[in-house]
Amino acid sequence: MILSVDNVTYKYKNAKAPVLEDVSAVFSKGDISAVTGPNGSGKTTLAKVIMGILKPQEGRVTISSGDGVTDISSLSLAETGRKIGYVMQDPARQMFSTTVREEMEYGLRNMGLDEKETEARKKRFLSYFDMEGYEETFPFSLSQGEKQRLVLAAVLAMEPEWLILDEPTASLDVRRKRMLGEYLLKIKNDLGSGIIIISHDASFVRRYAQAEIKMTGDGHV
Amino acid sequence: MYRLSGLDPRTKIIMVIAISTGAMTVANILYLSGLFAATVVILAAGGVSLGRQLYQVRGILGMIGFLFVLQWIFGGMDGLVLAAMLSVRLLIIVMSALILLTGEPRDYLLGMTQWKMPYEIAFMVMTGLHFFPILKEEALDIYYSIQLRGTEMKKTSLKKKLKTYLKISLPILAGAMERAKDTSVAMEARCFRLMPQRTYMRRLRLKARDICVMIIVPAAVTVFILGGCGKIGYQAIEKPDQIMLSWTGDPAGTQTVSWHGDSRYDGIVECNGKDFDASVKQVLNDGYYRYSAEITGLKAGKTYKYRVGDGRTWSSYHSFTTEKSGNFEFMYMGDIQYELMDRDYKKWGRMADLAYEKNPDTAFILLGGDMVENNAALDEYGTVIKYGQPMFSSVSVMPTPGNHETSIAPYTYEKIFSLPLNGPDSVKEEVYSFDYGDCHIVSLNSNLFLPERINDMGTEKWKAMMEKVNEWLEKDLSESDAKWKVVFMHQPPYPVEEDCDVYGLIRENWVPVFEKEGVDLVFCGHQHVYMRTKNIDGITYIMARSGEKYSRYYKSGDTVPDYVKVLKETNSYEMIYVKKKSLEVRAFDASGKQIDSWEKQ
Amino acid sequence: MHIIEGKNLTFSYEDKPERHVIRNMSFGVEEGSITVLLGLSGCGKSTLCQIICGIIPGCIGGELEGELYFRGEDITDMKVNERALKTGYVMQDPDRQMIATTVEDELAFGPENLCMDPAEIREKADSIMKMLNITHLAGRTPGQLSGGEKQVVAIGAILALDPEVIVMDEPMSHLDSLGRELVCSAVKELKKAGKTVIIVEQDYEIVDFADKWMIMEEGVIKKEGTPAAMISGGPCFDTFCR
Repeated sequence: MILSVDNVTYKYKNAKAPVLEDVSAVFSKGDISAVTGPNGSGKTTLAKVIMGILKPQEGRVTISSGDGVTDISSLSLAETGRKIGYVMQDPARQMFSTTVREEMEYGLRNMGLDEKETEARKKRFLSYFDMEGYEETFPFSLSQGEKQRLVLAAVLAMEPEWLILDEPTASLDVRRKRMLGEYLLKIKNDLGSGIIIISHDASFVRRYAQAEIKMTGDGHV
Repeated sequence: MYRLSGLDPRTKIIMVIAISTGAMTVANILYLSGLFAATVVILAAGGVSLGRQLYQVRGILGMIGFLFVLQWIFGGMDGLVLAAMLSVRLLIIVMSALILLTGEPRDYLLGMTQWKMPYEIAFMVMTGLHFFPILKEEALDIYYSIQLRGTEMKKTSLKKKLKTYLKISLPILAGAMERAKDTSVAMEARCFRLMPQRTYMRRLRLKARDICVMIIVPAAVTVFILGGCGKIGYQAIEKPDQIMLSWTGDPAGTQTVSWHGDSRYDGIVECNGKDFDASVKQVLNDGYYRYSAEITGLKAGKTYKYRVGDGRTWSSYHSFTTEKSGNFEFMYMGDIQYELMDRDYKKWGRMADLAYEKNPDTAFILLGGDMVENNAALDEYGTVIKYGQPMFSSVSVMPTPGNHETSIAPYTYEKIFSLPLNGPDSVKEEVYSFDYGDCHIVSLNSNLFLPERINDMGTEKWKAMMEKVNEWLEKDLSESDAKWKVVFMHQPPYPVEEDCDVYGLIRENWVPVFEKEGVDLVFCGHQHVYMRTKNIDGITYIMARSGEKYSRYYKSGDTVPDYVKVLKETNSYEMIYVKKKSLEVRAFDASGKQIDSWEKQ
Repeated sequence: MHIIEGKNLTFSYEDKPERHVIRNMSFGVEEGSITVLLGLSGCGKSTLCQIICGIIPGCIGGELEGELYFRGEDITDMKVNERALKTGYVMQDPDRQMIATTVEDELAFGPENLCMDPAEIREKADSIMKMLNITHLAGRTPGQLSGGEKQVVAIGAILALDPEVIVMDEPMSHLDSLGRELVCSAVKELKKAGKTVIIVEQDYEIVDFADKWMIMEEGVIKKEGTPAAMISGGPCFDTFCR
């Protein structure tokens, strides 16, 4: 079960040089992997390429699972979202509903799950992240940490095989960082998802990641 | 060479406003193309390459092409010109925007603030510009997120797509509001609006070249606009048409020409090596202008070439002949009135052509009234004059008004025709007379007897006027020592059918004068038949029509007054031969076949 | 004497009046010192910053009780834009505090609002850029700056108003190590210039040159003291151990 990035080169439209140049990496499902590097080294770009949001000029991203190898570019964003969960740096960009409950149910409904299954998963993941009781809350009134947990819950409820988190520790205090680390370990063990963390937080990475991919400033690994 | 990027932003704003105003106000494709070329040059000379200019307009080229196709389909050739104008206008405006792109937004805002725009507006705009790309990025991220949450956007119905857009508007708005709040806090924390005014670290200063450009460009555009709208410079006019000759003075030494033009110029007749100025009248309020000029200083019996125009645009050459001595002939045509306008006028035109062909030496033409159906229909007058060519522009046309030229008085008729002003004071041009050779001709307005005229003036005033008219008639006829005296009017003194009082009034008022003063021949029309009376107290009355409208006054089989000598239902034209010893009239039908003749010694 | 002093401050947000984010808190900050406000999220440190700068109650609604003194003067009711001359405020998100389109315009923004003479403004902007080592960034637009550079510019923009106290709310949380270095050196320059700095941060290690730490918990100051004193003792501090 691996997610493979093969010789990806990506250049923004009006840029002089490519942000990612001939980047290759392999992520194993059993690990928490980290992509590190200074700001501007292309970490977020890599995440977007993996998700299929950005299409690389060269190279490809593939997922291999039980039923063979899938090229990400052959999937629509909706299909990719079911395989890889993506938590952006700013959780406010991933909330579209007026209640927490709706937010949880939205993705599940899109998957076509029935009422019972939807209800079950919603409850499970809300409690997973200690968010029971928040069901009727207006998501935008949550604190930063709570928003992040909501998005994590909503994304994971779709039970993707992979999870990418972009700078998840940015606005968290020491305690919450630790909690996040614990959550991630829990997810790895309970759900078996492969986790990729994009972060410049060296100590967090040191503590929780098993594999590391360092991006240099000029688009290489 | 100057560079656009080196100019003050305010200068550039002025340039763009000037050029855009020029583009929008001028409606002449040549001028617009010139402005477009000028804009390209300004940009290129100022450092914006042609390639860059092309790139700027690439977006609207498709739209322009579409416009052209649409206009061509629906508007024909005229439509293409319109499309061309719209396209060039669009191109000019889009390209002039390039002038603005050579500067930074903050410079424009600073410039406007220095020109007293409230600084709050400048900051609003700047914040907007600043955050627009960030908001765009946020919106995109939100859009991707909702898709990653399982919302298919490809191959979904429009309704579903709209629902999704609605859903993402929530986080977009929330994000925008957050940002706005933070920005306003930041601004307050920097003492924004602490004081009623603020100073600026950077100041834009207008340099000499800015002042130059700010003066030159608007000035040039003003000249351009004036030229393009025809206020200055030569604006090509439409060729003058509907040319018609007449006399307002002596047929031996003068010739009056009138024509239709478009009013934007001073009209001239060029003849005999000289230019004669025309006066112009607007007929009705219709944009139909009639010019008329009198050519003087001519020699009798000579043929002259002439043309009309404004000095740069001319009609083609026509010719006329001044009064010849000796025997001559002239033409009379009665009612030209139609049943169906274009068809019947055309037919009449063919008869007129035939008549002119057979009688190329016709000295002048008398028209007996009812040339049109509707007294104020300019297109009808125009059509008559059109089908009367080439005769009307070579031979003087002297008409009399019919009831169809009359609306109480023949207002429009008087503006179309230029006639001698020697009639009685109150009815000048409705009544006149002229001499040609040994013939004195009087044109009377028998519509003066219509009840509308009487009621409009009130019986008292009308009676007073008629007295003056009759007085004038008597004086005019008695003072003439011409051998032959001919009178023409529209309604007949001796009709085929006595269906109203007018005829009786004519007989009452005028016939005695005719008889007293030795009138030989009276032409009339109105009842749409060819009718010649017997000699009634020394005068013969001839009624005719030249047009296609059949008579409703007489149908074959009707009884006819006993003064009728000859009666034919056909239309006709009459040639009158004036000789020293005789006055002869011959009537011809539309094929040129003679249908009647009469002679007086 | 304490340059900033708070007495019995109590505050609750408009929409949650029952919950007191700040509870009867009194504190003092010494002139020329660098104070770091530590605490877990939700303890009220951001709120305290905003109270010091007047953002609360000026821009954010709620029930504020107690007094705030600046050099002995009661500034509790002073408006934000007046207060800015005494207490400057640097926000967490570098993108949200840049107002002008270039760095030098950003530094000029504050003085322009004060109707200063243009030549003076230019001088001031130049001197600040020199002090913070950002002269090479003068003409750059926000898109051409890194996160750390933007925060330094924000500090510079505040400095241009000459406040004596500068309050920073988690200025380094969105920055990478390079950015943090930049901001730290800027803060050191501030201290050299004699400014009083109050920084809210998650990571005490970042501001290792602080003079005083104040640990907040649930709206009150749980503990304060010099770093040395704090490190050596107290279970309270252990929550911050990595």
